[in-house]
Amino acid sequence: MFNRPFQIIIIELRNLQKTILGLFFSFVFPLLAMYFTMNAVPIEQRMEAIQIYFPISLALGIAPLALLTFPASISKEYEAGVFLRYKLFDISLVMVIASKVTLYFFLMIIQIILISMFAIFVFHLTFPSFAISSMFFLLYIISSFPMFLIGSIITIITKNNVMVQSIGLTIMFLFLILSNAMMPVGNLPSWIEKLKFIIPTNDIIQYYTSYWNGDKINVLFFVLKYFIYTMFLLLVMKACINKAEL
Amino acid sequence: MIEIRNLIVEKGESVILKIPNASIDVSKGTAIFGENGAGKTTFVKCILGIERYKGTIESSICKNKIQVLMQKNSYPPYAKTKDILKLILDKRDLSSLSTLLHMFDFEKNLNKKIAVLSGGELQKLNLILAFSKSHQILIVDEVTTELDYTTRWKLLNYIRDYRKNNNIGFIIVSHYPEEIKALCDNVICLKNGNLVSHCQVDTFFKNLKEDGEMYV
Repeated sequence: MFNRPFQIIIIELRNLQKTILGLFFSFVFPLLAMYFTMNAVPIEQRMEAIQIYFPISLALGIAPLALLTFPASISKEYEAGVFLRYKLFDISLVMVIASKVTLYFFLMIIQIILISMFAIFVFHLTFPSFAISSMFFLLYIISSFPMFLIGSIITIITKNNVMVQSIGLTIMFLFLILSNAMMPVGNLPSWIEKLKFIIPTNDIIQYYTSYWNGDKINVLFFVLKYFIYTMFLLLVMKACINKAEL
Repeated sequence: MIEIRNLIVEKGESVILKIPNASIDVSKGTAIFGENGAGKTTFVKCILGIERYKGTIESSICKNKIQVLMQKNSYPPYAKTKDILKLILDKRDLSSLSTLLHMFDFEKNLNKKIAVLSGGELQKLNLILAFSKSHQILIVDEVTTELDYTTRWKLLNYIRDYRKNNNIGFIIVSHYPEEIKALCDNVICLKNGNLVSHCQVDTFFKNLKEDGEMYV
């Protein structure tokens, strides 16, 4: 029963070896950014600074994984005709995409572990209580679902690998810039401030960072928000699939 | 049977395929013959339901009982050949796999990546996959393209015996009269997107000889 999904995951892992740009941005860039940012902070302030920077680092990792690497892997195969070949061999495309989503979910977990280990061993990051840490990572994971869905929608609409990577990169940098991940961005027009409501990395960097550092946030609000956001994007994706000739 | 009625395929403002009426007996071998750009692949895509068309195509065969080899068959380039075989074939498809691997001398390619296979090796993979899976009708678009002469004749003999022993229907798009003669009972000729003739293979070769041209 699990043979085909397992084979899809094996094939995708082999393909990932050749996706240098996506792997760099997803796994190496957040560590490099953390290293250089934290080394610019005076040593006596680093233990406090890493508590603030750690969620930013996670946001820097999930954005390229969800908006660049994942959609590019689907669009590359669609454009080359691989999906058509699978369809003609009676291989379920829903199974193919679900298997890829499962793999990228595990890649996200590996990314969290990698960034956490780096922060702990290099900059002495300390975790808050078990309850807060667990809720933080749960909120982080559910906030990533809309980003993966946005990546999927870009792929379904454009079906062209170059366009997917271009649009994915643009959205990724917009999300990170507007979330204050790369530099402080102040005095934005009010309509852009309102737009931040739908940017998951903004919630990770602004609100979840506060939660990680002991402030109270309305956890239920964020759980409900991302449940509704995910359901909405699933409906949009379904409408795009129906309209597209897949 | 596959019944085709008033089939029209348009691309932009041009009609690229127009077939008023045709019936394909799926228990026999049918060739689709014509020059480049005649509409042969488009016709096959319409039968498979992967091309937009007007008109009707009714088939008595379930889609999962049709095996297809298109002109271009793409696989993930960095997947290994054995990955693709494990993905596409079920346990029940494995009975004929070793025979086919041996016939096409393909065992040595199992650990190779798809991207490094030659055109001929890729075509052999396609054929191994198509013949391993159970089917009632096989549709192939230029099956012997990129195969060497020896493999080509091995394949043609295999297909002829396979059809006879398993009572499988066959639709082939081919430029080669010798393939049509070896494998098919009927021929559909297309020219500039139109149906020129639909006749038995003997009549096709008689017309070919009399006309002195290959419908090309």
